[in-house]
Amino acid sequence: MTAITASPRQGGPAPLLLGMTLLALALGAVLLGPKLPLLSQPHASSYDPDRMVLIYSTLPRLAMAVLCGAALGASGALLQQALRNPLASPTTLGIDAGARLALGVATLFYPVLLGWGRDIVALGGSAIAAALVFALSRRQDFSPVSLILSGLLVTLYCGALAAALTLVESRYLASLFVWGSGSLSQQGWQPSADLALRLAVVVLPVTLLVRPLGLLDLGEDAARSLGLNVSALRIGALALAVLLAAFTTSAVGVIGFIGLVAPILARLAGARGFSTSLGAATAIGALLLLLADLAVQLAAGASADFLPTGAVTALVGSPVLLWLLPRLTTRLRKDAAADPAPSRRSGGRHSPATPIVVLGVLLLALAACALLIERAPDGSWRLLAAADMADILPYRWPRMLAAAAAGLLLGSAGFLLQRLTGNEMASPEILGVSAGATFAMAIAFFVGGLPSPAALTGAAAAGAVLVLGLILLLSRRSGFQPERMLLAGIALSALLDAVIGVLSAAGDPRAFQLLSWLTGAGFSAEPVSALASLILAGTALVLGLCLMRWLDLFQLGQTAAQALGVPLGLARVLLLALVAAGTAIATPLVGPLTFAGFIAPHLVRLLGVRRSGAGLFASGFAGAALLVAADWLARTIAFPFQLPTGLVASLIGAPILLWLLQRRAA
Amino acid sequence: MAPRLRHPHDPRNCAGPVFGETGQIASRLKAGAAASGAMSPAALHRRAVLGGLIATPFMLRSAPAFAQPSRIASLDFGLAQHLIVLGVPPIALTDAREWDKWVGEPALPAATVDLGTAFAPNIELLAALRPDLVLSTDFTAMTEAQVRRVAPIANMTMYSEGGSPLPKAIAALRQLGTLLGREERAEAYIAETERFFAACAERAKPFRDTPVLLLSFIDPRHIRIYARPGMQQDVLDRLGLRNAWQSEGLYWGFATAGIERLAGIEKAVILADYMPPDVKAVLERSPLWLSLPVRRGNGPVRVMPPVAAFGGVPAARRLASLILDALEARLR
Repeated sequence: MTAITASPRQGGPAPLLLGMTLLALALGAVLLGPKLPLLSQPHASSYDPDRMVLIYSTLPRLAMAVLCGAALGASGALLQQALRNPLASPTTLGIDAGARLALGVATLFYPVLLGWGRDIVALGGSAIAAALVFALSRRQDFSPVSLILSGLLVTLYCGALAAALTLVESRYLASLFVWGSGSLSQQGWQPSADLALRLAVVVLPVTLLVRPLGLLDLGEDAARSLGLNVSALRIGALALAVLLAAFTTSAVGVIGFIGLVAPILARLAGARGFSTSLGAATAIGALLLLLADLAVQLAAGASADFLPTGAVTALVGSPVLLWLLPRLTTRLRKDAAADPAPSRRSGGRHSPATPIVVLGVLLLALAACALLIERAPDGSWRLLAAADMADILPYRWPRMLAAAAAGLLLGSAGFLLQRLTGNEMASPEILGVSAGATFAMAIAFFVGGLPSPAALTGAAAAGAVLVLGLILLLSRRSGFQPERMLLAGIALSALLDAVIGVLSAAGDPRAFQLLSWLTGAGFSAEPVSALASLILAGTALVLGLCLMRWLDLFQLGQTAAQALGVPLGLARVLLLALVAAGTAIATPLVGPLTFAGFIAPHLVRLLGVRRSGAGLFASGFAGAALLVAADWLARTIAFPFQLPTGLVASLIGAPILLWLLQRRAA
Repeated sequence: MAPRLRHPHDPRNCAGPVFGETGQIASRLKAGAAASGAMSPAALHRRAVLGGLIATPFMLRSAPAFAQPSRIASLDFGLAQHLIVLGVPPIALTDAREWDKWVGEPALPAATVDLGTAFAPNIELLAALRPDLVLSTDFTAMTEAQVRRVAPIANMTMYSEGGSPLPKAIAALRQLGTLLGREERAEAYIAETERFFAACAERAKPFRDTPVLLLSFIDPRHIRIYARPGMQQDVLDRLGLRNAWQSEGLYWGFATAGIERLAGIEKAVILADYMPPDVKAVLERSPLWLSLPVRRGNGPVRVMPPVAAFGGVPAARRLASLILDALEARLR
């Protein structure tokens, strides 16, 4: 079973709680000390702004921090216990992101709904996101890693959709930014009273579940033999956890990572047994958020900058996740040989060439479509007239070619990564490389004024290389276990999100520029760059082919591969470097979020391609076909809007993927 | 035609057909445009470039003259306003559909084509419209590489680090006038604007003792407060009115804050340029909001008709009128 290895302290969590309480009291005394005497003043005396702020803003804000922190801590503890997964939390399972997207959509299309329906909207979003995460990881028996990977995918997907909304309707959605980064700012007691009421409703069912959930510590089979309906218990606990998180996000916005860190701290402090650790996680969550908010309020007193607490917790929390990864002692990795899709089974009726031909023809047909079918300036559909070709095609073919090149790169990278890890949830989008590239560009934006596109590309490459190096370094201890690297990618993506949250919450319009790059909207496809990326894509495919023998042997399982003379470490580093390079080239073309690298290998498996070499090409072609189609739709469906290609690709891809996974599960 | 005197960097100095060789001319236009520089180190010295721009009329040199651009697209609302007052309305504009909601005046011709979002303008649509010139600012500089393949770009940034927007907007209007061969019209508009502000300052005299708080509501808990150095502040300065919010904001001219930050302001008239539909009801139930001195002295917030928050000279004039209208309505 999974656990965190750190020798738990003797004496339980009491010393930690005491220390945090004392610290909170000290900070609180600094913040409130000079103002408390105001409370004893008779109300009738003349207006005193300090007193009003104390009563209606500062105090309710602290109460809100305690309530939200407690709810999130409890939610995280429930999730971690029910799923037996030390990394489960509302943040890592996509629950926060779902609520955020749902409220964003509601703000845009039904602003009035928020007057009464905020909680329902947030709850709906959270529940759908959670359901999606479980649907995605069901195939792998909800194993800890696949669950977190699915959670990240859903988070990225929701984030991309929210980003697209923000880009199209940037003026309306300043509120989405502020809300998304979790500002605790209060102007009365009503919101905290409302939240307290909602939380109170959840408390009773939670207490009823404490004992049965504790039995899970004995192991599932033992719990089952004691007469426990484990599945029903899990679903109940998950529902309660989602409720707690959704109520919180609906009240104040997304406050990341408290739900992850609080239960882990409780365990590290020596909480034994579920009832103790649930209680400790709740208390620690409350104290953590209170401390964070006190610190933010004290800091905000010094500077006038607007700093939302949720963005701060994410900023501090995501490195904690990074730090925790090496301490996870669990055999996360299912041996590749145990993969339920063994490779050497005969592929069925067609020869390996057939799917490649099919995909190639499909790709050409889509390319023709993308080049020739267009929207007229008045919005009607039409075939590109021969007379207009010379005028329009020079703008169209580089864009299409760049999309195709990116698809080739991502499709083949995804194939390599999934074969390498034996994990069908793996995808280059999650490796953190694109997050690193984006990060570097963000820094270039905010430090260097307005850098040139060339400088930005350079920064992106440097960021990609740096992240790759960092991930390699971090995962050296685990022998380059690919799952570790994927998890490191999660933490980096989350950190990036937090930084953008901080920047955008203050309303700095440069955040919009960054966002536009994040969705791949800012890319300029010129003939030279498009051709260059196609050549690079071809090179990557050839290099991938050279490493194919190793990859084939990997499928026999690690031990067998080693026995056959594959240098495991070297092979992994080379393959991962290829994946990272491909991702880094493709990312500026279509944005960091396409899901092409995720979906293409699945499509290929569906087509029955078993051999690695054929699979690599087929996967590349599938990725290219997906992105060419996406590029065409991105240009035409919302005319005159040009949607981000990557976003459209993920919109097309997600349903395909769900269908694929369901099909395979059946 | 008599040779005319021009700045050495004037885009029209180049020999050859102006609107054929887009690449070359684009780069020249780029070099000549004020605060240009997504691509050049000059971007790091916007103030220097701006100074050069202001000095343009004094650095003269002879060169052959060319046809003026007349089919112009804009990636910015403020520059589109300038095109309209110069009598050369844009043929296409990004986010044109939102003009009435966020800008209002001057009216945008109904035939203006919407180019989609500012960060991903529809390049093919733009190409089909065959513009002579595209106006851009540093805010949309990311898209300039794509746009330059279609038409030359003039980058005229009004909102940037250093200085305040109104003088930059006036300089941009003057530069645009030169670029379009409408110097007289630009100068006339600028002179009229000076007279307009003088008249407004006269109108504003009775309100000099009343500080003004200009807000934009984000949600029921958060606001943008217009502050120095912004267009709103420039307008208040021209009117001789005092901004109740004295701290500085971003160079866009606003600070984001929770509503409780207004508690320290004793007396001010609150004017908002935007309030989302669901905010008012929540706000008017908030005990803190209701007890703020600025709220108690005012009654519910007055929301002005739309005015471009980051616009050009016409937006400054419209804001001046709207502020005075609101202040005078309060007296009645």
